[in-house]
Amino acid sequence: MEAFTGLTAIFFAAIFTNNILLTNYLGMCSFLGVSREVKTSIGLGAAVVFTMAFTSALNWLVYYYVLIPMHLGHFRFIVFIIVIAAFVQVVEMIIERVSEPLYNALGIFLPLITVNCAILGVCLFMLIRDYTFAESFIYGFGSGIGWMLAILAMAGIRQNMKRSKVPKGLEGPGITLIIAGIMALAFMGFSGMINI
Amino acid sequence: MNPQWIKEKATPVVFMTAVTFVCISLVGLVDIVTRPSVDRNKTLFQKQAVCDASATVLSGDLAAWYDANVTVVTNAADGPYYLVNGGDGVSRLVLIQQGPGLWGSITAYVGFNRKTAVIEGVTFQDHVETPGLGARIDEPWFRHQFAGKTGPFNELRPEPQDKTKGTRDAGAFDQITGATITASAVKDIMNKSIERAKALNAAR
Amino acid sequence: MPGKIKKQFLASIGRDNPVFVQVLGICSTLAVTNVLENTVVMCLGLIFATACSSFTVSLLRRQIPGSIRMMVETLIIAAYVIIVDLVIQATLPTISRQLGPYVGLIITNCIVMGRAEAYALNNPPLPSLIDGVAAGVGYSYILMIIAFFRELTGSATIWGHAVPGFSSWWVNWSIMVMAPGAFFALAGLIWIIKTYIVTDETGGK
Repeated sequence: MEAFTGLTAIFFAAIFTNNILLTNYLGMCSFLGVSREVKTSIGLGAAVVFTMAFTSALNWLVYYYVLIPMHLGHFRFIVFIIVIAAFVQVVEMIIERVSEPLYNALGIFLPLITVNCAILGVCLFMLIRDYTFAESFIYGFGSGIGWMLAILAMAGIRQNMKRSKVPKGLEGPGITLIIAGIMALAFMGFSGMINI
Repeated sequence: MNPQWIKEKATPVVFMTAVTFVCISLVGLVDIVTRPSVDRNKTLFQKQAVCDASATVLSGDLAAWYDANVTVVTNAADGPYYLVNGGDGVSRLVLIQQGPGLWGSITAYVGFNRKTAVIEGVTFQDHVETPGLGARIDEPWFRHQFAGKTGPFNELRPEPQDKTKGTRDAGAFDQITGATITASAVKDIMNKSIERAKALNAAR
Repeated sequence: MPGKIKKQFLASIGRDNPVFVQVLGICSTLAVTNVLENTVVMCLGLIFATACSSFTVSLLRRQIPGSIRMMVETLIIAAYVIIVDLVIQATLPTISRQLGPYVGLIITNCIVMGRAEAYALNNPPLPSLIDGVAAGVGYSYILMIIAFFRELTGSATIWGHAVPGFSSWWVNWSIMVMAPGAFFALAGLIWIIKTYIVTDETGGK
């Protein structure tokens, strides 16, 4: 029971109180670039959730069962990024062969994900926080959902303010950053709700 | 093996292997050069925390003091703790205690006098509390107020209930305005470590 | 040659600055802008990584097979970032502890990869090195401005020291040290720069 509540806390903390995008600024590039429309945001968000959950679990195994026994902890950056890139490639190939519609929906987003800092960030945070295998998987999954939630909310807001008047200098990234700031403020309201 | 095959398949593999080899050797070299200081720095904060929590006034090198006076006891059921050789012949007990804070877990090092069981010192080694509010638990006035007390501590009570007494009860401690959850987390951490220290003292 | 170098530098700092034009590469570094000292260390690491990886990629540009280009670039960048990480860990333990995983995240910083892809692959080593330094500097000074204001307003200090005549009466804006502060500070800076300095709107993508 205690293990279960621990996992639930990590899951919800990763979504709300420690949202990887709004408190750690990770994955900003694609966040600012792709959040123009809800439809594309859903595609990218889903791809991120999937990749984050599985690469964090995979990298956990690689780190604790390969790198640590061989005293190669310092090479984790190289190994993690290669694992992520390889995982994305394999998934892309599998999806392409298995499901045509899914490939059309997610396919174009997968290459973008390799360079999404949030994925590598999740892998590095899980090591710093000494998560177990199950915790890492849940943490990766929760962070992915949190990221998706943020980009979806942003896309929704941006779609609705297409015709709003914005000062010239703020058009584009400026106003997006201000909205992100307000969203981060709103997410701070969740603080204290979950104790990890 | 036609040239086409070599160009398209073999060259990338050979090239990648070569680049990997060069990169790994380069990083390995830097690793060997920096290894001693990286290893020393890794334990630096933990040693400093043990030193602060046991209220030791350091006169020389931290690492030398630590090697000479600190023993780590790892066989306890609820995690390792430290025994510190105090200068006055009484040993100090330093416990690592974790607890949930506002944003994430708080790790505290709490030092006890082995003889009188009073708290010698507290340091908060790891926390992600709100800067300017909860993060003020790092400030000396907050940490030092626990020294000399035995606890257990209780919830915020701004004024003594019985005015005629004029003093606050033993469980009170100064808290931080606007950081209720952090203060309550600190209270739990302190009380848990007091329990543990009691159990360890009784078992002796 | 010096004239060309100067031009390259000025372009990276002004009109072609990746931060204004596309808001690229802020991920890993924005997070540490709440304290000036950490930002400076992080930016030096980033400049080193950008410059060295551009130089190395450019040296190898004729040899790298096209199909594995990205992998090779990533590998080279990762190697330099590990070196930066090890050096910081060995020499600046306090800062290394505060930076946490963010040093490693320089690998996925779009600017490092972007310069290697866009410039170093088609240019000789020396200009690539300069281009790397210029891109790094152009990016760093913006983050330092942000860090300066965040530390000043959020903690009333500069480089960890109190400012005479200011810290005594200033009420700290805690929000500036926390996550939303970075978004507001960057947005404000972009607003000011786009309104007063880089006014011609050619590439407002």
